[in-house]
Amino acid sequence: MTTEAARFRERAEAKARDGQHRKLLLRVIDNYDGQARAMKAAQFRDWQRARALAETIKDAALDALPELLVEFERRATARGTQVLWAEDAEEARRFILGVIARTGARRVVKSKSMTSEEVELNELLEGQGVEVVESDLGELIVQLAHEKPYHIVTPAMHKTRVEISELFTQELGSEPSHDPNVLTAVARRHLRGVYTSADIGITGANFIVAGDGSIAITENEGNARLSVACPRVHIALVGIEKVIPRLSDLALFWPLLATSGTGQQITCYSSIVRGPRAPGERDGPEEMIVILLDNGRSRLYGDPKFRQSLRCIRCGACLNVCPVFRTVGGHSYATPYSGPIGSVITPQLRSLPNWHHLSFASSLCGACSDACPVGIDLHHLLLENRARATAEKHTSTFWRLVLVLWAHLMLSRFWLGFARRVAVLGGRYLPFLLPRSHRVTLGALPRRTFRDWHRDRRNAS
Amino acid sequence: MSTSRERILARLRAAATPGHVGTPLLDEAPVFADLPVTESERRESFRKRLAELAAELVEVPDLARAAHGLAKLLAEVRGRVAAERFDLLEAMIRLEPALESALSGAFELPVAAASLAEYEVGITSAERLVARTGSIFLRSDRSGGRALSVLPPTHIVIARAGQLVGSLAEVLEDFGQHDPASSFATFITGPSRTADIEKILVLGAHGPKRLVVFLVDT
Repeated sequence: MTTEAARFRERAEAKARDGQHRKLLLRVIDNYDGQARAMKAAQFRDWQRARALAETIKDAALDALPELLVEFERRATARGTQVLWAEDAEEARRFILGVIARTGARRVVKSKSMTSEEVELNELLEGQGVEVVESDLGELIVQLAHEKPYHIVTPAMHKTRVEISELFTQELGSEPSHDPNVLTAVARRHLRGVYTSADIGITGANFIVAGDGSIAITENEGNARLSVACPRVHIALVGIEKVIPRLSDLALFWPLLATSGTGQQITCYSSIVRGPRAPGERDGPEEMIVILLDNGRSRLYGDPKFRQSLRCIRCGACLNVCPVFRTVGGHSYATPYSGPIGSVITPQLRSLPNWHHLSFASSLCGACSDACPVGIDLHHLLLENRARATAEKHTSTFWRLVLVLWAHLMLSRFWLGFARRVAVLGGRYLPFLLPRSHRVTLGALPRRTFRDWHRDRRNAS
Repeated sequence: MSTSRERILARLRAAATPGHVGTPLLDEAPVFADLPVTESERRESFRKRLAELAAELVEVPDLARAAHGLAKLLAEVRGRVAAERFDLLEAMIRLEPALESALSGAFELPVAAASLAEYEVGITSAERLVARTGSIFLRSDRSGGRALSVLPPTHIVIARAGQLVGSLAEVLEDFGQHDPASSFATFITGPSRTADIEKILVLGAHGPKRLVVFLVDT
């Protein structure tokens, strides 16, 4: 077992035994379940049809990805946006450091961005002496707690209000309170000054709209809007797979994302960011930089089986329905993308030898594939990772041999018969080897197989 | 042109398109339930949605009544008011003297957008209103910019009934067609909110806690 796999097992086991954690997690997810189910029925005439439509649009966009990216670049550049292409995390980090050096920025405000987690941006900036402040409430909480986000949509899902109150008192000096309204107000006051004094706002994006040369950002709190309104520079770090062809596609994708993500009809602020401040406008950044992040996505793209995983709109629905996620929680995975989608793409984006264990940590129940609003066949992709890991011999030699042996047994009439006879004897005598309290009476196993019975019967007639 | 760009594009172009050839043309049937069609359906839907979102809707038959209502609202406000200069609001000021004094200085917006944090109320126009979702569509080259509608804790919108359309698609298609000058646009659906603490809904996160829409019939 690799070190990563061993660590995963340890964390997963510890969390599985943690009753408090489980209780909170299930309460939060139950809440989500009810809302999402209700909204699917309320908002869409036919949810399955809406999914199919979204899948179609995304597939068409992926088919034309290189052309759409070039179109996005052309239109965005015409409006004054700088478009940079980052082949990997390291290059993305270099670009961002470059902007910071050039502008002399000391303070960065961040709106929620999983790509920034992926490239480990916060650690980098802090190491350079730049102050980084997370503005999304959930991200702020985990930042203050020195933890990683727990869930791609609800980063502090695992924290109780009591814990948050203590955290705020300790880190922000606020009065203790168990009222979520009061705690939110504490964060609001704390962040007010940050938006207005930050030099750079860094966001992700939910969609890249090729036909408009813009990016689309979905949120409820208003922190992303503030991050692109006040600071002098706006940097958006976006995965290349986020492309959709037209602005009007947002009319489907925004409600779809909101329904699957949080059980809402649409999120509070659904914004289209089209460039830096235009001539004649009152405010807005002087510079807007979009960094298109590859970091393994083009490799996924070239793999016919895995390309569909690039449809992902990062709604988090698969995490919420997954029985494994519900048991071990988000932190056990130790990756920015956890749950089923994380278990599918991480072994491909990082390495199969070191990360295939995530694909094995699944019962293949298929709830994820059913929940996915863009129809990604997640559980079959997990199986594909498993098959490849086994074929490339990354899995345990012992178990591979056991399974080879088992396959031989099952395919051999002689050994299958032998195993059956052992089972018959065992069934008769094994119970007596057990202590009285554990004794189980097994029904008598038939002496003949069906095949033999049928043959005898045929011969007799 | 950076070589990373060329390498990324080369990898993408080299990948053959997988099996599925084109996609079956999905029929034109509407995707969304309860899509309001008639004017009264749109009104009813917008009314219902704003109530669900805990936003305030003030429906008035004419600008005079709107002006009166706005003056009353502002009289209860403690704190500074900032406003975008737009035709509906200017017409309302001419109709209601109390409004003139309530809004004195409101149009002198601070140069630094960040200073809007010191204001209590922001008043803007809207580009469109969306009935199905209860959304307000704003663009940054109008509506006072990016910050006016999001920094002050109270956001007041003044719009005509004629600006109310049925769906998001209508607004997006229209906006996208004319390559507008605005650098930013947003659909606002209710006061700001979060459920990051134990999935309990809290209104008033970083954006406005109070959203008021004056909808004028004429």
